[in-house]
Amino acid sequence: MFWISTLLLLLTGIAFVLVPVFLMRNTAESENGQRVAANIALYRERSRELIDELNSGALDRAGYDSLLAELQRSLLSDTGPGEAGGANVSRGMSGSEGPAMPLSKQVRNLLTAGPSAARPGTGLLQPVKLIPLIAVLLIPPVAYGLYEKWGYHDDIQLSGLFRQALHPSNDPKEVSALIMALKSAVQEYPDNQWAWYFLGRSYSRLGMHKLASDAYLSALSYLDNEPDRVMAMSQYVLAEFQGADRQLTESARNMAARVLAINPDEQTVLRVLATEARERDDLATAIEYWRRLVRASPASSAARVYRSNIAAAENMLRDRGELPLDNRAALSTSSPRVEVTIALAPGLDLPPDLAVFVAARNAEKEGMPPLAVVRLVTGQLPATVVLDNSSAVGPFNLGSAESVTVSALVSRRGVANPQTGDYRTMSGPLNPRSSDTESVSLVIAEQVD
Amino acid sequence: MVPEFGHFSLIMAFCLSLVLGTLPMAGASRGNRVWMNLARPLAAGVFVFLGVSLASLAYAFVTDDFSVRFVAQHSNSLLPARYKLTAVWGGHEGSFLLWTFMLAGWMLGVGLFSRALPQDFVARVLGVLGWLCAAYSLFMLATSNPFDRVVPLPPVDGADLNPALQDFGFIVHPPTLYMGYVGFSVVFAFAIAALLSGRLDAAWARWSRPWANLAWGILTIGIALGSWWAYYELGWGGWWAWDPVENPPLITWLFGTALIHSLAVAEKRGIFKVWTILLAIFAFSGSLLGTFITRSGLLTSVHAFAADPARGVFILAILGGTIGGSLLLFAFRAHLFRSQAVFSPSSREALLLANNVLLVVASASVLLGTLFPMVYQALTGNLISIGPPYFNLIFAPLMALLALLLAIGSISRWKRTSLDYLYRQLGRVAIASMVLGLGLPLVILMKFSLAATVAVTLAAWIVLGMVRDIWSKSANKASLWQGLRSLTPGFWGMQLAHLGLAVIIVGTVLTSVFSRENSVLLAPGQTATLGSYEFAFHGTKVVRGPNFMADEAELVVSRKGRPLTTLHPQKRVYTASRNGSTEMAIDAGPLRDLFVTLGEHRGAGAWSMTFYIKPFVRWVWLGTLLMAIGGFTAALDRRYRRSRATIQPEQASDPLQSAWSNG
Repeated sequence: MFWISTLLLLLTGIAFVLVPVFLMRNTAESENGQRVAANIALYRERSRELIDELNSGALDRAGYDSLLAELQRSLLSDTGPGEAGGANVSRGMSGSEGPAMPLSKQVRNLLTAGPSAARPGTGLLQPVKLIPLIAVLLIPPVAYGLYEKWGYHDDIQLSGLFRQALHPSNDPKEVSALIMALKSAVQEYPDNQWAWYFLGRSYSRLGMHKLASDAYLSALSYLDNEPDRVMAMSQYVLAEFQGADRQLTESARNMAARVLAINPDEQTVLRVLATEARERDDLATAIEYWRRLVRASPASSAARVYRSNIAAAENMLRDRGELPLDNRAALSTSSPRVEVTIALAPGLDLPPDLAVFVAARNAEKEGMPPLAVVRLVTGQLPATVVLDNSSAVGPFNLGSAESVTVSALVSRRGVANPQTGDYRTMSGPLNPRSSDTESVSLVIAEQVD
Repeated sequence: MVPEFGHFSLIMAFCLSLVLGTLPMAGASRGNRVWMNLARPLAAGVFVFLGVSLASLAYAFVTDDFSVRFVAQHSNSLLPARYKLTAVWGGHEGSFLLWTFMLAGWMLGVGLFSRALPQDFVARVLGVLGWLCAAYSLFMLATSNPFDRVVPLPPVDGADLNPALQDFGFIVHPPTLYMGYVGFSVVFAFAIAALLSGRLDAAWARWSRPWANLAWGILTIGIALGSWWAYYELGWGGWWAWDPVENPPLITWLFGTALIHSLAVAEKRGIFKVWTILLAIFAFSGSLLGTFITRSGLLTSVHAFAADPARGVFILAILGGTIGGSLLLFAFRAHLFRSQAVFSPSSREALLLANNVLLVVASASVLLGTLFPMVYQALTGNLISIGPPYFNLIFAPLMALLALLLAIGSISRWKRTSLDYLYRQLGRVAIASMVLGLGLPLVILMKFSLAATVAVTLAAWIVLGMVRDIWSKSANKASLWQGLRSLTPGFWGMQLAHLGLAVIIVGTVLTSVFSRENSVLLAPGQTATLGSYEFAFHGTKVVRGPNFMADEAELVVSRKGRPLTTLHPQKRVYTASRNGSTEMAIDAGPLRDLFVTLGEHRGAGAWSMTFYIKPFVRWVWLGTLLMAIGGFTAALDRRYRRSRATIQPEQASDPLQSAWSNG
């Protein structure tokens, strides 16, 4: 359907070029003659206006003569030398009025000359049509080439498969059929990263972890968006872990380290590391990872499970006479954070009890709820606050964005949405996961319209 | 698959635009009629393909196709159908597609209504427009594609349209504004065609004038709609904030106003040719600059622009290429456009020159105030704010001077006007204006106000001068009716536009000086007063809209004990995005608006709220409407629609014969 419809568009576009090329008729009048005629018509119109003004008394005789002379000079200048009977152009008389009689004679010659001889048309010479034909031939490859670069036909074709892979059936036969379809897809579209990714997920569903790992690696070779790469890398770690009988291979460990370097709170990898540590009876390390999971998503249902795991592991360590390590200080520096200093502009005098909302938002996704919020009052300014994952107010936190903007809002009405009369300022994009803590200074000065 | 169809259609529009930008122009240079002949059909083709593209995007919105990223970002399944359609221009990508489609519409218009124009000229004009269309299409495909998809899987629902855009004003303002903005591309193309051909004659000015007037009239309405929308949507009762989004259309409009006056002189007198070309380039540049400022990320901050410069750099390249290229071409060709006529300082030409200077200075001042903060931030990293105090201080006196010259300019004569003539025509007008200016405000306000006096004086000066001009130009006919009928649509258009300016002066000054407001905290049963009006608060109730919940207040407005109306301001929260918005309640009238906006709920049913009285605020938009009608009236003058002219030998009965014999 897509190819038929695009072919239809192509044929329509080509018709807009070819039809006029082959149906063009010779026109009798020269282009220049048309222009001269238009200028003469305007001259006549303007001359009549001058006569009307003279007759009505709006113009005196001297004024009329002067304006008419300039009108005639302008006409001759506009129509050019050698036009319509070879009238001589009276040029170079700016700043002085030329003698009326010779000028009138020139204009009269121009007006009485009649139509200029039409230049013969260029005719329908074949070479003249060659260039438009070449243009027509170039349109299809250019159009399809651009669509190949920017179009989404392949992705749309596969989206049904992907939807199925995201919510797979429990029936192994259906999963097998899905795998066959995805294998065909990667053969047909070998650079489609998502076909490889969902093939990996489908293999994992059937316990074919080695094949899943290979599929994820193939996906990674085509994925370029970092959050997507992190997702594929973490699934690779999981597949390797499951395929190696719940042990971390060297490649999986390296991959896990790379994931956590990008997103220290990546849940799949942290779960794998926590499970692996628990399997090795390294409870302190397992606790460390469970704590990070809780901090990354404190309100989730999984957090309850992690908390109970932590409690159980701590009990075991106490029973052994070992105390759990508190790595909170060490971990906090690896969590995403932004240090924000907020102050009012000099001279800006506001009541001390107005609410101040300091918020971080995903810089790449407009209209999303904030990732982190801290509330102050104007009386506390200037102040420095830290936005991190513990400042999350919804399902997404600071760690879920590659780049954030930070805003400070002084609200007259105590609400977090900017209203007319409030004061607001915003930073540029910041990287909350930078190894050096991002700092930004906001001076509140601009009022919301 | 419909979005992919639309995507491919956009690519086809780009391909055809490239052909349009090359072959017809080359044909015009070489005298190749086959290639020139391609201009009109190619313009039609580009229009068709962009129309299909836009329709495909609209289809994606209406069918809630959230696999299209733009739809997912700006729509929602709960959004009312009319806003799903208008959400097409609710964000950068879709609005730019609309912009480009408007350009194609103007191109088609030139192709259809230019039968009287020489083919080489039309080929050049459409060729220039073709290049613009190609640049805009490529910009969309490469950096701002409205057909980008969410891969691998679309979201279940969209993020919703910005609540401020879920409003009637948003349905009409952007398309009208874009149409006016883009219309100046046509005049720009006419100017470039003149530069390329080396010919700028009276015929060129005659051909350009209707397009300039039309674009100007539409832009006037577009700016007025934006002002009106800001007034009732943003909730602070203001109708112009001098912000960086509002200023670029005004800059274009000011240059456009100077342009339409300059074109009149170029047609009638064959002078101001260089002025006209430059103004056409500057008016178009204003529209491109507005695009750059609002779409490059520069408004968020200079840092935002620098962090994601692809879009901004592309627009900057278009800006540099078109403006730089056109100015370079002008530098090489301007010497061909020497004028020969002379005029005295008291002539109509001199006054129109002064008019142009004032408009250009006003435009440059607004441009400086708009760009300087961005440049300052880029250079120093610090923020600086330039707001209404700067703009009002510079703009108001310039416009007052313009108004002063306006009545004189309309009635003055070409080439030379004697002071005695001016005195006879305008002496009594001046006295009457001053009497009205002093008397009317005193009678109505019962006190002296300098601002009101100046405003009413200037408005009366314009209106009475206009009446005098109409009288003197129609008095020499057999009857008044015959005299009025003898005046051309161009003349009437001019008078309407000038009348519009007079109405705007009264509206802007009086509403700025005499507006009042009162912010209070009211509990149900309590009453607030403002001026001679009482506002009785009867509490709030919860109302449910198609995609929002709202607290709606009931306020009964009385004057001297007599109930006038009931107002229902709202405080909304939109279901999908959880964004809030404030919906004002307005009682509109020809002489004043009453305006109420809800603040915050303060417990026990009490709400903070603000009341406004806005005298004569509707006159601001009435004036702009009159101006626009004036522009359309002038554009529709039959003289611009005469069929192709041919040279005919002078006839014996030609009235010009008497001119020869008398001369």
